Amino acid sequence: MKANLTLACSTSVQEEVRAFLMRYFDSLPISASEKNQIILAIDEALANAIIHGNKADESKSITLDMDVTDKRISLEIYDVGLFDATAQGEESKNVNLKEVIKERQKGGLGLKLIYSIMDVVCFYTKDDKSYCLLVKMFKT
Amino acid sequence: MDISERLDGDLLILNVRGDLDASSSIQMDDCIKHAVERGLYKIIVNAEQLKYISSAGIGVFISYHEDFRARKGQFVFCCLQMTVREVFDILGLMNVFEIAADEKTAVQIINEG
Repeated sequence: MKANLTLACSTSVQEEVRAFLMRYFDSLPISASEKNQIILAIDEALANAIIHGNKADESKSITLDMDVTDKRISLEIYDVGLFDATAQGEESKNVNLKEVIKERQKGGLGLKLIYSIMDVVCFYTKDDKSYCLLVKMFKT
Repeated sequence: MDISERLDGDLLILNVRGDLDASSSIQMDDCIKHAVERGLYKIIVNAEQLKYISSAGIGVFISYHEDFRARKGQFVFCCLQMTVREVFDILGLMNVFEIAADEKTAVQIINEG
């Protein structure tokens, strides 16, 4: 099962994307909890690309390519933004919650969620595009 | 997302409905900022109708946590749906914020400080 979405670079599209994913994952042999978590991880990656990668510039677009089997989901989010999450990938995985609280940070936990939920998280750039590859092997 | 407010003395109860994500977190931030301007630092977030929360939504509460504690206030969340509770769990926030099963318990917790 494959899908390709091209989205305006705006956080206002995210609710609609989550609703689409909820319907799209309906037939998958996974629990509601696992489904919700995968959608959360995708939503966080999308928010990263929109806000950090492209400064929510609505004239730009973000593409989401999905390939889903009954065993796993593999997904790529790509854009033309310049945000390089590779540098902070490992650091974000082990983000210190106490520091985030102490520093009164509003951000900083999205990547932690992505790394906690997905089995493979990979950021890379190719042909002036920033890619985020996410893979999740289903538990059930 | 829709937020309705109820004031009970120095206690503010927020009923949050819908999705609290990167887009609607601005609205939640404005709501809390407005509470702070009124000197309200004890806030119950009734999440019975909150369907979804992302890190941006949680980030709003985290950013006020220290200042609220310094003023003997806090956020107490109640009536969390499983989807929302799991996000708190994954991020290890169950030990940061008080979580109550219902609003009555949340009021007791916040009044006991």
